Amino acid sequence: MLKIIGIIGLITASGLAGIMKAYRLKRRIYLLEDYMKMIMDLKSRINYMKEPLPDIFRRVEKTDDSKAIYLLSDISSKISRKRLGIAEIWPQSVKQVYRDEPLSHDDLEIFKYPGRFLGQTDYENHLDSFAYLEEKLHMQMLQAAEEYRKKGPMYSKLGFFIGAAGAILLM
Amino acid sequence: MDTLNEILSNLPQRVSEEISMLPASVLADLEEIRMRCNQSVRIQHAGQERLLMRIVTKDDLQKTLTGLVKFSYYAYEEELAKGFVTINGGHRVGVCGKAVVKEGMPTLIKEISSVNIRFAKEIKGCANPLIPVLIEGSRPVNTLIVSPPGCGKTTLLRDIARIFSLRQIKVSICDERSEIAGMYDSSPSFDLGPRTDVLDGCTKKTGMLMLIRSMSPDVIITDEIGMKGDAEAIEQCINAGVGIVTSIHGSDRDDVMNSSIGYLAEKGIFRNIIYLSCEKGPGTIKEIESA
Repeated sequence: MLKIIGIIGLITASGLAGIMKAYRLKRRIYLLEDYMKMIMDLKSRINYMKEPLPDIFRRVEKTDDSKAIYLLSDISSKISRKRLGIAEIWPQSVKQVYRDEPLSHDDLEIFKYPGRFLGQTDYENHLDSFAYLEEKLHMQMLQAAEEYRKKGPMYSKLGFFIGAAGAILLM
Repeated sequence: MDTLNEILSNLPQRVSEEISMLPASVLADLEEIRMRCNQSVRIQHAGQERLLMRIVTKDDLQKTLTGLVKFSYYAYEEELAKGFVTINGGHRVGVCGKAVVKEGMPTLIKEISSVNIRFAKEIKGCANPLIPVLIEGSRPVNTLIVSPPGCGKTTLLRDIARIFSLRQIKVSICDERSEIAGMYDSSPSFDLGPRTDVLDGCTKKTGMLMLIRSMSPDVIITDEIGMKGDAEAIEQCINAGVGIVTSIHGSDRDDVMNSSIGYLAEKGIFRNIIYLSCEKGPGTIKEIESA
């Protein structure tokens, strides 16, 4: 009886580990899309309204509760508390907000990129930098989607297979 | 005081601490904070100058300006190219440095060497003595205010708007540089009365015509007329039966006649020309020329 419970436990734990691994791949896609959405929103507000960044952050904060919006909220509060510029605050906040998220090193570097130009250059330069950022994000999204397509179902199944293999060995 | 605190939060920490420790009477009369590279900060209050201890560095100036433009140079690039920005509360920040010129026009000021923060004032009632010449019956009279910089013409215009508005006159303010109303988050930073509409940030040439069509004002108030297009817009206001109260930099009639609106003054468009000076402090009425 104990053996059967152990086998079921092993298969379940192993299967869940596989599902979790697949979920992390899916989560990466979600985070990239979420960040892209925020960037497009930010761009359109700069493009159309030409509002200063803290005002945009304040308005955007009220519209959504995504991770990327939380990033803006974090930056906004740091701007008012610390005597630091966007260039210092943005990468710090990205590091902090996305600390435990399944993002690659390249994803995080791209997320930090707005800190290099946002608010520090003229309007034309902003549009160029946003175009570059969007292209980079788009590439990461394609890569993440491809990775999920290839590895997602595999991880989900692999967990159960490994569990089952372990169970056979136990038997 | 809220905007003062906001401004102080953007100054180098030791400067803001030093200013915060000044007596409340000095802070209440603060006119200017001047910061020059490698020099001490100087503040101007009630016509007096006071030297602070802190020496300002190039980095301090850059950080101060970045904070004052809310980390958003793109939002202020046109103003900055002209050498100043207007911040929350209608306060003006003048900037000096090395101008980057493109096609004969400055597009940017880099290597910031000086920053001058000029505080906008609200003095309720300062226009009271002028009301008998500014209103005829219940109609506003076309008026030009001539004043050197810093002699209170914007403060006077602001109070004129408030008084007109309280006297059932529909006032529209064309506030190109956001100095008269100091609009922030859809509200003015000053009391402009209950019948005042503000078109903020739009050029006078375009804005005045927009206001005539959209707000049907009795009078349009605007500051620092100077461009040729501005004079044409004033003519259109007059033709539409809308009164005009405006100001121009200068100190005497010659300055008016030599300006782009000299021909309007010659034609007698302005029933009053009020000359201000700083002789007995800002807002001193030197002369009123009535047609």
